Amino acid sequence: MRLAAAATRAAAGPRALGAACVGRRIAVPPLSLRWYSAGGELARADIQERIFQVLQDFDKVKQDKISPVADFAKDLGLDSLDTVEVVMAIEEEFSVEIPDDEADKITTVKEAIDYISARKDAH
Amino acid sequence: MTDALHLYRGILRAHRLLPRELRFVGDQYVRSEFRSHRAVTERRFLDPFFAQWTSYLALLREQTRAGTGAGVGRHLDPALVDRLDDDKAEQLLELHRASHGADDSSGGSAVPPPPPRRK
Repeated sequence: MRLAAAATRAAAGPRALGAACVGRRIAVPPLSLRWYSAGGELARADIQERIFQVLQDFDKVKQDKISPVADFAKDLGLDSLDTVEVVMAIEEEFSVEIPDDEADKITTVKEAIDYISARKDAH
Repeated sequence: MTDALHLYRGILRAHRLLPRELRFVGDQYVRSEFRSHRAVTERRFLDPFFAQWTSYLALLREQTRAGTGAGVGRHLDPALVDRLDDDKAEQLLELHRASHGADDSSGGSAVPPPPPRRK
């Protein structure tokens, strides 16, 4: 789709293509600019949004109970095996590996956000 | 309980190093096995269950260690295969047929071959 659009714009001439690229950059920031910026720490709001997304992708989560303070077991309805899987999905989302003793302590959305916020290598 | 969860996490983590298709199959299997043993409390069932998964994890870690590149898995013990009854042997043969061609590179390839096309 995007290639085809670019090709159409290229056919319209170099100026048109340049304008299209600038326009697109403003409208839809590439993920790399938002999340992988050099040296920048992740904004808490971004972390929360991405953790919510992980939870939304997990079938067993009670979707209407997702909140910044939700407890994986009490609110989201997850058992201990599910919780292991969710925490591992969060690991993959932020490209970090969480040691067992740390992962065991993450039982709420808030604890997950706090943990990722504290990990300077999360991205 | 914590040990069981750590074993579970360790296995899922080891599966990350597998080719995509093997990881998918492996994750599904370990999930359903652990889930179906959740309510089990008898040591005579649990002990062999955890012992088998622990040795599986040790083997997988060894085989996926960077630099070995030897692929993963192991052959079935012929003595065990001999002890299968006809139904089980038939199931095993069926599994072999179904999986044959899905992975003939013994799991070492970073890009898994496409799934088999059956007529």
